[in-house]
Amino acid sequence: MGPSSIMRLLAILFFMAAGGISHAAEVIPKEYKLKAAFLYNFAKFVEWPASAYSDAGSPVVIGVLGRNPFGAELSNAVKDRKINGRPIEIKQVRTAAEARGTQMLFVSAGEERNFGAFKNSLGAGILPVGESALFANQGGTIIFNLEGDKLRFEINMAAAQRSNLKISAQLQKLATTIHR
Amino acid sequence: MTFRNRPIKHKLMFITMMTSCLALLLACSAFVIYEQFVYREKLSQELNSIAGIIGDSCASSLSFDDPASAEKSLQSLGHQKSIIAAAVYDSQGSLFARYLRPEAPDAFIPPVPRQNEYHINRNHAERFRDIVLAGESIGTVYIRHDMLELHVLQRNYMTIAGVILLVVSAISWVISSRLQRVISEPVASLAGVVDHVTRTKDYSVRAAKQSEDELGQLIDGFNEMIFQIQHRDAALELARNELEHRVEERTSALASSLSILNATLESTADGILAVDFSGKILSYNSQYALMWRIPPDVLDRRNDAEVIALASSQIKDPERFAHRIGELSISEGGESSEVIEFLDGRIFERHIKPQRVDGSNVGLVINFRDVTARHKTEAILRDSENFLSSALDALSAHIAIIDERGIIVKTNAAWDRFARDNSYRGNHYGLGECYLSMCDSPTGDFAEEGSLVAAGIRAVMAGLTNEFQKEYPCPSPTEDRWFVVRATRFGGGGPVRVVVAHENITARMHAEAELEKFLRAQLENSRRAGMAEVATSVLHNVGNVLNSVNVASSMLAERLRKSKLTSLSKVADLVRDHEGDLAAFFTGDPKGRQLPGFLSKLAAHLSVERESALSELAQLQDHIEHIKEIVNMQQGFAKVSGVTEKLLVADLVEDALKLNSSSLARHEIVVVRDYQDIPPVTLEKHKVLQILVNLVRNAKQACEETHHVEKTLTLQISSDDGRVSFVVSDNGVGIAPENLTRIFAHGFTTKPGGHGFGLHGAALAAGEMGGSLTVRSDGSGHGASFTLELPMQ
Repeated sequence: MGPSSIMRLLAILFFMAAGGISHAAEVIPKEYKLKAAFLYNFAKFVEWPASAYSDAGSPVVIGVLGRNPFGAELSNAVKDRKINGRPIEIKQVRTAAEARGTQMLFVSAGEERNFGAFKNSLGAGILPVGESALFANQGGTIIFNLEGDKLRFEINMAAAQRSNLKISAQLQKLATTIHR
Repeated sequence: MTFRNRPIKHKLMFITMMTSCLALLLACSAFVIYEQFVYREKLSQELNSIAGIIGDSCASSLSFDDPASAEKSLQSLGHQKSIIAAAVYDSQGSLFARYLRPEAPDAFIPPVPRQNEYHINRNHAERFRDIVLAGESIGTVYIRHDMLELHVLQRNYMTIAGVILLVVSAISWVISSRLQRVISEPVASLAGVVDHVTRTKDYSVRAAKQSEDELGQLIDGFNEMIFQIQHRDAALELARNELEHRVEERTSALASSLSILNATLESTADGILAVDFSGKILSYNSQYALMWRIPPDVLDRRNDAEVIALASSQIKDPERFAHRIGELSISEGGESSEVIEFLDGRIFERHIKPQRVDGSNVGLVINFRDVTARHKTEAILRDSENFLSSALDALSAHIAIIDERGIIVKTNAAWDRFARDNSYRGNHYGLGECYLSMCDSPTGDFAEEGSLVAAGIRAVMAGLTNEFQKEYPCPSPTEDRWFVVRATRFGGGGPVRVVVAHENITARMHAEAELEKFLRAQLENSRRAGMAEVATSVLHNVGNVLNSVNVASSMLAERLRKSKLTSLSKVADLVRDHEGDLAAFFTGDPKGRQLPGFLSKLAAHLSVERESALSELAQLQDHIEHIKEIVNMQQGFAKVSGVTEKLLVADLVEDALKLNSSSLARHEIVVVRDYQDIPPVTLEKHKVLQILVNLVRNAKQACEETHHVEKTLTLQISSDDGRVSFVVSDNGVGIAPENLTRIFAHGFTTKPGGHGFGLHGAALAAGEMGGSLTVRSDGSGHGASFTLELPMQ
């Protein structure tokens, strides 16, 4: 057994130890890791009306309504990233007022009631993203769904138009269903 | 044939075509290269933009991890046949989606992307491009593009360029083949002229100028050059001809002088031998071989020793000869002569002269002359001189021979004796003295004779007379002497020599006196004899005429005997018988009735008879008159000349015929008259008549003796140059040639009863009148022709 084989063995042992440690702290399913990335990416394919930002340097704010299923994943995903020069901010949203200060609002499963409570007061310029059929029925704009282990989404174009949002054809192309 | 040796025409065309094709090729190449460059640029941009489009369309797929949609986007490249492969990598560099053209076997996709790279090589172009979304690089697109299109394009370009090249070549061939003539045709024409000139050497041709460019100048220059050549050629030809002519002249002059030399050498009677100083024979003439009796083959061999041996064997003194030959080789130059005597008596003179070439002696020319004959002649001459002297001495005449100045060069013994006897006081009896001066200055009684003799001798010397002769008295104290001096010139072309001979002719002078006496007596006798001859002539003539008289009178008698006078007496008797009844007789009687007619006939007849008788009588009278004349003439012979009178010669000839007319008629001789019209001539009528009568009678007799059927006597009269000619010719017996010469001699006759005086007298008479009588006959049986020619006074 040469020195390189020893080094590899040592590396495996190290990673097994590290995984054991993080898993022990908080277990975030892979699904939400993907959803966190998707949220960030949606921001790239959606054009908000000018009124949605207070100024040119104001950040893209992604609000997570109620429970945060991403743990720190979402914050990590957008950390040090910018979209068209705008920094990205993750915000924990509880109230409608807080919601109105965001550009994108993630409604996780189980939070549909809360969202239903103030969805009509949100006004234009906010993109609601959910993950349940209920959310879809509530008139959510982008809805995640899973096809096997593949994360996919539906787009409600009528809702998007109501919110005065332009969703890029690129994004529409990837949608499993587009509601009009 | 290499390009260098091709005709200019081809070169021009080739250059033109090469230039245009090369230009075209360059243009095409530039175009192709530019096209390729542009294509690559375009390709790069195109690939970039395609990569951009693909990147854009795959950005969402990458973002949302949807390789299927990315592949779907990549599938859209399927309509771009040139793109053989494409791929999308994620931001980690992993292959996210890919596209391979189905029929592309060499499709290859690199496993790891590279940053915004563009590669192009011969077969394909590759492009990597980052996919940037919202300012963030989220992946890479890779596109691989093949170069088939470029290749096809390039092939097409090549094809087009080839076709254009072909077309341009064809067009440029056509155009250059037309345009090249502007240059090649003058050059070809010039080359043709040059070729012609080279082949035929005919410099009279000229190249035609077609332009004023450098070719024109070239042709002008060529023409000028050829013109000068032609001129020089002509001058050369002239000079050559002149030279040839001169060479010919010199050659012919040389040949002529050579042939003259050879002919001279061969024609000379001398033997000529040319030798060099060693005695070797260089040349000889045939006379030399003949004279020395040396066979030609010996000489041909140039065998000198043999020649010398042969020569030595023939001469009297061979040792001296050999010695002289030895001397030849050392004597270079001097001329010499000597005499060589042969054993057979011949004598040669040998002359040696040096042979010079350009002033230096190269040999000797030896001339041999056969002087045997001369020596003999000289001996004979000496003999004859001796003989002459002896002969002169033997002569009784005193002889001196003087030269052209009168100096006495020779005298004979008689001369010397005379001088001695007559006490001549000079030396050598006058030998060496001038005889003419002696004659010019004599003394004594005969001074005049002396100068006459001198003048006569001078005349003979000058050739004015052949001989001078003078008799002169030279009385000695004791006797009456006579001499004759005779001066004669020597004949021939030698120096003037005159023989002066004095001969004592005293004896001859005495004899001559005697002879003169004798001759005078003889002369008298002769005259008498002449008279007798004349008398005979007269008698002969009278006899002739008397004959005619006799004939005429007998004819008259005959005619009278036959006269019709008897018939008249019968009529008278008849009338007398009827005296009583005359009227009845004349009317009733038949006889009486016829009587008047008979009488008139009778009268006519008698009248004719009378005429005839009168005519005969007249002729008779003529004859008698003739006799009278002859008699008168005979009387006149005593005188010196006869009586002349002016008369018509035709009448004279007619008289001569008349005198013979009776016999001419009897013998049926035809008389032909051919008289030229001549004015009256002064002649001694009777002498001429006598001659003519004689000639006519002779002709008549010649005709009588022949048996010709046609006897013809022809009489011709003509005048020419102051002389009148009578020709009496006949076709009678003729004269034998041997008699022609003596026919006029006294006493010559062929007739039995002839006395041979007629023709002799006639010839004498003709001579007395200053004329001549000649005869011509072609021989016996061919007639004769006598011509009497007299001067017309």
